[in-house]
Amino acid sequence: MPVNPETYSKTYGPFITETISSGEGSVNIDLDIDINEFPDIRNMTKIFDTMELWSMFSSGDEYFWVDATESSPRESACIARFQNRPDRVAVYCRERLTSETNGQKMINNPFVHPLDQLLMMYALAEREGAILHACAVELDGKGFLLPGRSGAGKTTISQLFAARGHKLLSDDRVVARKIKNEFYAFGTPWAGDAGIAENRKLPLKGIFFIRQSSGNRIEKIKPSAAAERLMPIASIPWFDEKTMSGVLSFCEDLILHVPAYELYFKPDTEVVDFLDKFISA
Amino acid sequence: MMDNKKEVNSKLPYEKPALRTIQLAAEEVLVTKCKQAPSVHIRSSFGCGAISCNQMGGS
Repeated sequence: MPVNPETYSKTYGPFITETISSGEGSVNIDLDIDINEFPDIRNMTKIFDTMELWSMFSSGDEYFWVDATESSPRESACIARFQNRPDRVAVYCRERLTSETNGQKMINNPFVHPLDQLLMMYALAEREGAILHACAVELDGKGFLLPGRSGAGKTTISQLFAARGHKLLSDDRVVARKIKNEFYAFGTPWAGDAGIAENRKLPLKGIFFIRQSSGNRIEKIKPSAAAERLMPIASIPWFDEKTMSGVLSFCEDLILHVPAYELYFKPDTEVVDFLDKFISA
Repeated sequence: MMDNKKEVNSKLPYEKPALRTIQLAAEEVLVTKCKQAPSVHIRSSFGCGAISCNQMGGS
């Protein structure tokens, strides 16, 4: 059954390509959609429950992600089954996820929020990578992460850089990866309020944890301080020890090899030149 | 002896181990809530973006 293009083209836009990537560090995951059967999770072990949006179960070495929780008022419409290193994901959908357009029955794309990010988190955990809550700017052909929790100023600083003609990979979520001993920042489809989502990567050369302030200044921080700041903004499945270990190892590697700083910034365009000058020095 | 002294002097001062508490933000990075649905275009096209919400009329 075909997937309704309206339910993925708007979501993923420039991230959809006709070719399958086979280059260094490429990650290929086969996705199977099934609407004829629905797994029975009642006897499985529940390992996490968001109490609002989704829950996760395990059975043997398989995970079962469910788009509902015990307290959820709605019935589950979708269950995804995958293993720790998800090379193949089976998604079981209820009939109500289908629709008919011009007489053709189609399934709505189930790989949307939040399943897409969860699967990416698992896929990266075993491949030296992680999703980070950060915007990423390009300066002199290099990528620099500006991480921060919600409200830290990622959208503001992204808009300031964009207004000065700088390119960005993302204003909210990036993927950081180590490929052949080099660290890279990737754009993701998950843009923030500035709507910046570029499908490309840059060599990652610095991390600037942002804090709004009355003036601009940069302080180099030790790896231990960088770890403290990285933990809250990294997508780490704290409920799953095995996968968590993979992400934590990557985070340790990242802060030991990519210089980290604290960037106190005044929310106006001066910060763009200030950071540009610091990096060029 | 001199060499030994030099070696001792070049060592970093001992820092007593200390426990630090880190405030995590699981709701922001583990997409545990509807309001964390990313991307302007997802929200505008399909409600909150979550699978069930798309089908059930919002979150």
